[in-house]
Amino acid sequence: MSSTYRLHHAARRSLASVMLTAAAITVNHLYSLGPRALLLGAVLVVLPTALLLWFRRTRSRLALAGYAAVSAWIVAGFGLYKGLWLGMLRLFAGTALASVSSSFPKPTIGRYPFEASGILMFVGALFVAYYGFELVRAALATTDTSPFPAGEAEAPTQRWRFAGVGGALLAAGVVAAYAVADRDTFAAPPNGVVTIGVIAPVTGPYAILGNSFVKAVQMALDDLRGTKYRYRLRIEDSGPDPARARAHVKKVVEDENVDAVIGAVSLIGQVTKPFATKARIPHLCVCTVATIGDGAYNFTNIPSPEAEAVQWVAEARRRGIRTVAIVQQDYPSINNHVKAMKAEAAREGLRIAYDNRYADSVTDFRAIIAEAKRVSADVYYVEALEPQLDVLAQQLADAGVRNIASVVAPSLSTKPWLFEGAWYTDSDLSDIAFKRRFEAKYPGTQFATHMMPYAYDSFNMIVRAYEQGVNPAVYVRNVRSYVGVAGTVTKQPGSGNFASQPTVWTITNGKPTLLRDEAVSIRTERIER
Amino acid sequence: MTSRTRTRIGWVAVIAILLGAAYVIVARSGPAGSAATLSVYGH
Repeated sequence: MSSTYRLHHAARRSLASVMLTAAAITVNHLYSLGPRALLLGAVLVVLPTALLLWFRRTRSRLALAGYAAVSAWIVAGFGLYKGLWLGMLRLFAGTALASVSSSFPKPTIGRYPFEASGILMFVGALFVAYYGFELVRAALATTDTSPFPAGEAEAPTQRWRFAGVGGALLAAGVVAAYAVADRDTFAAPPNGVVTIGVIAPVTGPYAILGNSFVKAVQMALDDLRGTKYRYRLRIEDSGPDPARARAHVKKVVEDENVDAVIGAVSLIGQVTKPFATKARIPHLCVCTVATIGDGAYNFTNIPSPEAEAVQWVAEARRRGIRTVAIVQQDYPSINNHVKAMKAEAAREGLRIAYDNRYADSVTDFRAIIAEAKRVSADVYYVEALEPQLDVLAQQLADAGVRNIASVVAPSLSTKPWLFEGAWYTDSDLSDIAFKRRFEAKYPGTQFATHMMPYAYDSFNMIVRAYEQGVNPAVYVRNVRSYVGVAGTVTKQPGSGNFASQPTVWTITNGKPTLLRDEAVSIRTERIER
Repeated sequence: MTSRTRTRIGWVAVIAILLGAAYVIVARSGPAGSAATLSVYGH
């Protein structure tokens, strides 16, 4: 085989491997760069082709060096770093390690084309490296200044044996290095201070929930006694808009390097999730969207709409209710509650006699109420957010409607007395004294029961982790059952969602009251009489 | 069968195994990374 033939042969194969690998790189980067990945792909195809044509025409060492540099970029940057370390090792080694020990996080898994293209990036880079080396060797051989001898120093079989053993040792070393880097270990906080980010919207439509949420975490901090470390809150108002919340989350998690995050509202939790994963800190989100909880660094901690629905329908059946009229605001979280309630009602044989989902802009509900009254349902399921919530409640009262039930809503009302006699499901409180303490401590802040106990308990979970000298993410991964002010929350192994049981509340004497406490109070009154 | 053919079959088998294993892991992990859940947020 002539040296010129060998050169052209190696060049063709090298360029083909570069092209195929560039295709995999382009597909892979569509997920992070979007259409700009096509530009990257074009550069990775055009640049080496141009350099190789230049070399073919002139035999320029500069062209060859340029081509080798592009190949090295593909091999090191895309093949070894992104394809192997961030791709294949995360997918295969990360999954295997997480399955044997909770010290390793479950890796974030992307869509199949992303994962497959990551594998092909690495495999392609091996070919780019091999044929690139062959090309350089063949090119230098034609100039008689090659540092690589043309003849074979060793028999091919022996060479492959060495390569096999060397490759296996290298692979074992790389996997071991990945395992060391992937493991979450405890690090004592600098200067003994643990900083916990509290990211919640305290303005806009979530103002009542957000303010109450922040105060609940502050109360948890104030309640700490005799801890090994000192704890500090870094409170950040994310605002209600997730697009703008990103900058707030980035500032707290990336720039200020907090040790953990407690977040409120799914919309903001969705923004916080990738930041917490990247920073490898636990993010306890008091929110209902289950997919936020990945079981690695992100966890949700609040009753699910399905749990609320089961409790609601059970209470309705207990009260002998057979028909329901729904009057609800068109709002994502409310829609989730209603959807779950309808599914459970259908299972349990409750009939939905009337169903009205009204738009945000509606403020006159009299026509809707009149229509609903015509079906004479046993109960009116009413759910809305402020300010429409109290307007609706007032107009229901004016129309003489008293048989009202809901999920969560009355606890968010600024005029709960408008719901006098209504019953609803909401988060549980293991001890009503928690609510009384909160109201005494923060007289100007409404206690919105829905999220408060979970905010308080989430903070204490982080504290327990540090006090026990356990990495906080690993600690939360390992929690199977936690008894706090929200009662008992449980979590399946590997899950990112704490499950908890909501309970039934009523509005009695203008205030949210636990139904079980009301029952005790009535029994006590009877005994006293 | 030449050694080049054996090598090619070997590479195809390795890539197929890797892609197949990746498919199983992705399928078992559920809709990770999906933005579909953004539309059903709540509190």
